[in-house]
Parts: sequence; C-alpha cells; structure tokens
Amino acid sequence: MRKSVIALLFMIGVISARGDDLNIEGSTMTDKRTAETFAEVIEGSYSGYDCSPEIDDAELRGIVINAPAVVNYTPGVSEPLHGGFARIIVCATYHFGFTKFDFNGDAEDSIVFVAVDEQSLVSYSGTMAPYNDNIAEMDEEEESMERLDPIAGYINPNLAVIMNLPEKDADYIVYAVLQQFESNRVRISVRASDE
Amino acid sequence: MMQTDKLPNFGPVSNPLLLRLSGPGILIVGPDLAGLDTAFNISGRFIVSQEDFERMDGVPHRHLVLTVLRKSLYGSMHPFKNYVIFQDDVAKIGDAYSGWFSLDVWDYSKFRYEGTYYIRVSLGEALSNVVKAIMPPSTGE
Repeated sequence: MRKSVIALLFMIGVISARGDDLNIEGSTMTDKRTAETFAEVIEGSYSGYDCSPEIDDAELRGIVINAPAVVNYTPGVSEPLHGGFARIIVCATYHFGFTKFDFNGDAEDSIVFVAVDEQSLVSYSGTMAPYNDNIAEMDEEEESMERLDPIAGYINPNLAVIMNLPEKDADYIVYAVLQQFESNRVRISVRASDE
Repeated sequence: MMQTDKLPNFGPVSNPLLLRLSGPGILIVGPDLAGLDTAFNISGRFIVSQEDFERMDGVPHRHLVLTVLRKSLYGSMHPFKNYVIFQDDVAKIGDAYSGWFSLDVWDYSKFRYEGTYYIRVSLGEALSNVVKAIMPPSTGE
C-alpha cells in the first residue's frame, strides 16, 4: 500500500481536541499554525503530524484542515523535488464512512482543496492526485450508514503544487470539499522573504 | 467558460430557507433534479458584518465563489467578478449587510455532463450549505 500511515479504523472512540477558533461542528482544529510546525511535513504525504487537526468526536464525518498563518518564499526559487514556488502546506484530517470511502476508493485523493485570493478575486482548486471516478455516489440509506464504521486519515498537500498557484504575495482563504463533506476555513498569507 | 450575456439577478427570492438567515453567513437553494438541456438555477442570500463588508470594498457580490463538484470534475470561480454591482444590490440590516443572488450554474461551470452535482457558494470565510442535484442523461430531444 503506497500510503504510509493513512486511515485508522475508529473502533475505539478516540482523539483529543485542542480548543480554538474556526471550528466545524463536532470538531476543533489544531492551534499550531507556525511555520515551524509545518516544516517537518513531507508534502504530498498521508501521515499525521503535529500540524494535523485532532478530532474528539468519533461521530464526526468530514474534513478538518490546518495551515500556517504565514508562508514565506524566496522569489525565483522553486522547490527542486515538487516544483512549487513555496511550501503552502495544508494538514488535513478526515473522517468518512467505511462503506464507500474505503481504502480502495482513495477518497482522500479526491478531496478538492479551494483557495480564494480575495484581493485579485481569483479562486484556485486542486486535488492531491487525480480525482478517482470510482467513488460511488451514496444514496440516502447509505448516507445514514456513514455513521457506522468510520475511517480516518491524513493528507498533506502543497497548495502551490496542486493548484499551480502563481508566485506572488497573496492572502488566501482555504477550504476543502468532497461531495457533501466540507472543512473549516483557514487563512494563509504568502509573502516574499526579505532574505 | 460558458458565460452568456444574461445579466445576473440580485433580487430577493421568496424562499423560506433563505429568509431564515438572520446572521452572518450564506445559504443557497437549488433543485434536487435538473436537466442538461435546461437551466440549472440556484439562488442564495448572504449576510456580512460591517467589517467584512468594508474589507470587500462594499461589493460582496464580487467576492462570491461558486464551487461545482461532479465526480472527477470540479471547479471554482467568481461568477460576479466582472459585473456592475449597484449600491442598492446590498441592503443594510442593523450593523450588517444582506444581499441576494441567482445564477444558472451552466453559465459558469466548465463542464456539463450527467451525474450528481454538489454546489456551494462561499463568501469570505463563510461557506454555504451544499445543493446536491442529479442530472440525468440528456434525452437528446
């Protein structure tokens, strides 16, 4: 299996929460938004990090995201491995029902991230991997079964890469959606480094 | 983008869900079932705080972001970015501002195929409810 840590079966209640703003119902996101917290994240990985939101409600079905408040970049310099002009990392944690969003469904790769540049009125969207057409649509009965046998996992895209964001200073409002699921919103400021 | 010459509609819509909005946020309504050969109309209402209104230069309609998802296809766009917005398109209610909008998703979506669509509209940090609409295959008639 190509994903390292990924989804955990939530047979036991789980996960602690840290209080803070931008909550989505039944969940709180981590308050660690410093660049240092995100420095350790391998972009494009499926592992949990300190930046990964923690969820205390085993009943929650959805996506919770966390991102650095400020991202600095060096003008004209691209990250050699993935090519992004900056590491605009979003740490996302998801809880979905096992019935449809199973490991074979690669649901996490189908999560659509949206970044809105409020200044220039341009929005960007992208997924960490090609959207998987194999995810079945749920009927109402299946949606009610979402409360059973949930899975959880992590996804850590670099928005500069998956959305091909332009190299410029900007302030983004970011969120993630997948079918009927949606995340909290976070703000990210991207600034050229003075160095 | 399949943008048309149609003018956007910023008039109020008589819908109980939209009328229910009483504080900052955004709500939308749309069909459960629509057609590939007919309009895919959604309507919405938003309320923004004075602070957000000023941050949006007094034209929150331009900041609305339409998000369209359909299985492998997705997109997000500012549908009213290039339209003229008049002062009376937004109403002051107490210390906040309220506005309405209606649009045909097909005018902005870059794809138009059968399937299940998930439509949302965001405004600043506010994200609307989701409208889930099924598009049956075109009859070709």
